[in-house]
Formats: sequence, C-alpha cells, structure tokens
Amino acid sequence: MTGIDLSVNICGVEWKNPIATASGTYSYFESSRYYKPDRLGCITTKGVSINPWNGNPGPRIAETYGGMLNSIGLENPGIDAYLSPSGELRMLKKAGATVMANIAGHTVREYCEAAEKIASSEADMIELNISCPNVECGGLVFGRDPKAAGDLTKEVKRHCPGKPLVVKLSPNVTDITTVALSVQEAGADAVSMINTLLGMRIDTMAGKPVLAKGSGGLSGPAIHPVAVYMVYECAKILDIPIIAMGGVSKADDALEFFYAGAKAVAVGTAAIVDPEAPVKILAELEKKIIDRREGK
Amino acid sequence: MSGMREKYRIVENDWVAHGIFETVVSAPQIAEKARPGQFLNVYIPDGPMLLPRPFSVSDVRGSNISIIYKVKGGGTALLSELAEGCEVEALGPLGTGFFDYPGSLTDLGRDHFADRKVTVFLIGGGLGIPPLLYAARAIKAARHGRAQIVAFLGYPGDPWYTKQLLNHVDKVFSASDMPGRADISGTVIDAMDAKARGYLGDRETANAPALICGPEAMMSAAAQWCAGHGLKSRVSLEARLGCGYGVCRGCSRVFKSPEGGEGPYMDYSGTKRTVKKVCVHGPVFWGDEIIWKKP
Repeated sequence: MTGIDLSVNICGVEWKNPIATASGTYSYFESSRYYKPDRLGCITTKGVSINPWNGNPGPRIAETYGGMLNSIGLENPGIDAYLSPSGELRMLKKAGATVMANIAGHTVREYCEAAEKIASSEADMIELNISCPNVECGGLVFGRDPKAAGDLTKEVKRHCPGKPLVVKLSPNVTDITTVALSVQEAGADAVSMINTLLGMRIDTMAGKPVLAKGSGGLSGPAIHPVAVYMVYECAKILDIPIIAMGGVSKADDALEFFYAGAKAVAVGTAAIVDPEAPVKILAELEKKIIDRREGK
Repeated sequence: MSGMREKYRIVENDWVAHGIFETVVSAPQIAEKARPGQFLNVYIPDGPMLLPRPFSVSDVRGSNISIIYKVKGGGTALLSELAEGCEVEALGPLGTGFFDYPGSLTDLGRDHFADRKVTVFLIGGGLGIPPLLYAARAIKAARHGRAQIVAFLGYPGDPWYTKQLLNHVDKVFSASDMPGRADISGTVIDAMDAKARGYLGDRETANAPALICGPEAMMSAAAQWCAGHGLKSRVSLEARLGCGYGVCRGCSRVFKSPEGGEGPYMDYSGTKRTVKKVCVHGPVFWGDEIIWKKP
C-alpha cells in the first residue's frame, strides 16, 4: 500500500500494523466480504467458551448518544466449532491473518479448558475476557477484583504457557491500575483495555429498560476519553504492552491512544457501524503519519 | 466483495400516510443487486446517532430504490425531513430474501411448476405491506402471467398503499380494525378466513409459499393459518439490529430448524435448536422454522 512500516511486536507476535479488531465486532464469514483479514495487524475473534452459549434474550442492542449498549451475552457456537477445520480460526489462518482468540468462561475450570484448547491451536495469541458485563457468573466477577483477576490469570497461564496471554480489563472498577498490576504480576503478557462500561437505557413510554436484560455494556465514541485516561494511567505503571480500545472511529482517536501509551489499538463499535472501518482507519493513520513526516 | 457503505442522493422524499414516509434514493449499485425481502442499512446524518436503521426494500425502479417507514424516533424523523438532493449513506443490499432458495417462485430453472399458473398469497400488516409489492413485481416479471397474486392486507385504521399494490397484484382484500374502512372489518386472518379458501383448491397453490410481512403477532397467526391449510410460508421477521451484516449478534434468535445456522444448541428442555442471525440468515425465514414470541 503506502510502503511505510507500521509493524509492532506485541509480546513476541509480529503485527504488520498496530490496528486490530475488537472482540465481538468481527466475524470471518461476514467481515471478509468487505476486506481481507490479513490487512490488519491482528483479528481478535468473538469470545468462545467450552460449550455453546445462547446469549441473552432480545432486545440486545440500544443506541445511545454517541454510542451503543449491548447485552449479547457472549453468544457463541462453542470452542470446538471455532477450532473445526471449517471454523473461523482455520479460515483466518488460511487467509494469512494474525489471530487473537478471545476466550470466556463461567468458572476457572472453563477458562482453563478453553485456554488449553487454544494453546494447541494455530491462534497466535489468547485474549482472556474477564470483563464481560453481560454474563451472570464469570466475566466481570473476575475482572472486578484484583485478586480474583490475578488468580485466574495465573491459573490460565499455566494451561497455555506457550501462547502470549492478553488479559482484557474492565473499566467498571474503582481503580483499574490495581487490576492491571495484579494480572501483570500473575503472568499476563499484555493487557487490552477497555471493555464496555455498564449502562442502561429506559424506554420512557414503557417505563422499563430498553434491553431485555436491563443493563448492558456501553461502547462507541462516547467512551473514548474514559479509555484514553485509563490507558494513560496504566501505561505509567505497567511493563507489559497495552492494546487500547474504546470508541476508536478515526485515525486521530488511535493516535490519542498511542500518545497515552498504547502499543496497538483495536476498533470495535466503528466496525458495527461500517464494516470497513478498521481498514479505513488504518489507511487514514498511514496517511497522517506520512503527512507529518513530510511536514504537512 | 459486498456493497460498501456509500453516499446516495435522495431523489424523492414523500408523505405516504399518517406518520409514514417514502424515501427514494438513486443507488444503481444497490438497485442492480437488491432482491425482494432484502434490506438496506441507512445511516442518519447526525453524528451521535451511530447505528444504521434497517429498512426493507419496498421497490426498485430503474436505478432508484425505495424504502417506506414509519417515523418512530429522532432518526427516522430526520430522514423523513431530508430534502431531495441531499445525500444519505447506506449499506446494502443485505440479508436473505423471499426467493433466496433453490426452486423458488422466481427460480424457474428449478421450479417443477414453472410452466403452470400458480396462485400466490401475500399476507401483509401495516408497514410490512410495501416490501410485498417488490416481491409481487418480481413474481410477475419471472413468470410472465403464469402467476395469480392475491394480497391480504391488515391495517390499523385506514388502508394505504393498496392502489400501488393493485398495479402488480391481481386481487387485494384489505382488513381494518376500524369498521367500514376496508373490505373486511377485523384482522387479516378474518380476511383470509372469509376470502382465501376459494383459492386453495389446486395443487399449484400448495406448492407456492405464502409471503408474509408485518408485526410478529400477525405473522405468527398468518403462518399458522397457512400451515393449517397446507401452505408453506416465507416470513420476513422484524428485529432490532445492531450491525445488520452479521458480526454483532444483536439480532440472533433461536430456530427449530437443525440446519443452516449455528449450533446445535440445546434449549431448556434439551431439544436441539439452531441460533440464526436475523440479519444474514434472514430476515426472511420459513414459517415452520420460527419459534414465535409470546405476545
């Protein structure tokens, strides 16, 4: 394309550029109709669990000012479908993509079993989802408590010693740096942040929440400054790299994250709004960097 | 590669009926590909309103594409107020339509009844009616008169859009919950009870699925009416969509059918089910694979 080298090394894995997809906003079978997955630094796939999960009842989506709420509830076909010869991982690897497999679970054991299966797969990295606000047990139960987050990270790392383990942090905590430090000490190779913020919208005609589950996770441009602040705070104290996400919808949003201390950036909600958003943001970023070099 | 999110020019923006508007955009790329029952993601030109509004394709006229919708909130209000000549962004066409299966009414190469005259029922309620017009037009175009199309339309209040439909449909029976406003006082099911039986006699009708589009309760009753009379149905489900192209799983729903989606999943009784995304596996599904929501 432009010929500039934007590659980054994230805990031993070479990304050809610092733009990834955020978990839950990319699906090979649909997204690859819009762009080839090897154009991005990394494809983070939707959270998979040991058994298939049905997710939450609908409505699961609500628009908010500059953002959206979701309460999908990690609906997924299960890790065996993901790892099957016709599954998403094989397809992505065949297409030459770098892949980060996001895993979810209800219990420590479920997380570990999932990590073990991914460890022996062709996925390049594992993202540990301890921050989903939409599942009853698991997810945020671990992500909210520094000790529980650390213990889980240590246990999971034992089951996938050979693969870089990225722990996805929740902003729904009093102090995100304590959780970040705890997972770093427990052996996390990187952190990704932030997951969605808990939120709710109420239908004032019906007098009840818009989402069937009640609450959901807020994402989109509305949360970008929250994410930038949290990345900035964590970057000051962490030695491991940060993959930043939260409302990136243009190159400048990504640049803010880099200045805050992130090594790479993931695009989420923007891809829900425009399938091509990750590659458009990448192209814009390349152009911005070239323009700056040339003093424009 | 699929159609990308692009800017299109509005060529008409008209009032259709109380609270209901028709927006026509010049979109050759979409018009060329759009099949009946598919939809468009339309983006509201207002920064903080991020999510696309999905609208069924109501008609394709040359390189123009028409959507008909009710103003429900700020986004649709803004869309309805855009002047002709304004640009609006859209992505599409998206989804699986009425005839997107082998041997459908418009796939004459594989239809054993291609050379015979079939009778097709269109069953519509409210805003579900306009997309049926495009379906009717496609059937007529493919079968050159070897199709008789009978529409049963249910309205809250006064009927609208019947005149446009009559250009493509052989017979329209309208029903309204307000006495005296339509052919039949009552629901669309009342209209079918009163008028549909006469068309049910021949084998060809049984081979042609009824096309159903409207509110969930109406579609559930209509699909069950069809099943009870030996008719298959193609049903266009409505759902709150997020992305509209299959990545966010905002619209997923559990179906009876074992194939074509993801799974198998077990429901609470241990029965095998399939999860499908309304936006890509649908919005049009077979009536007998749908697990209807309780009102």
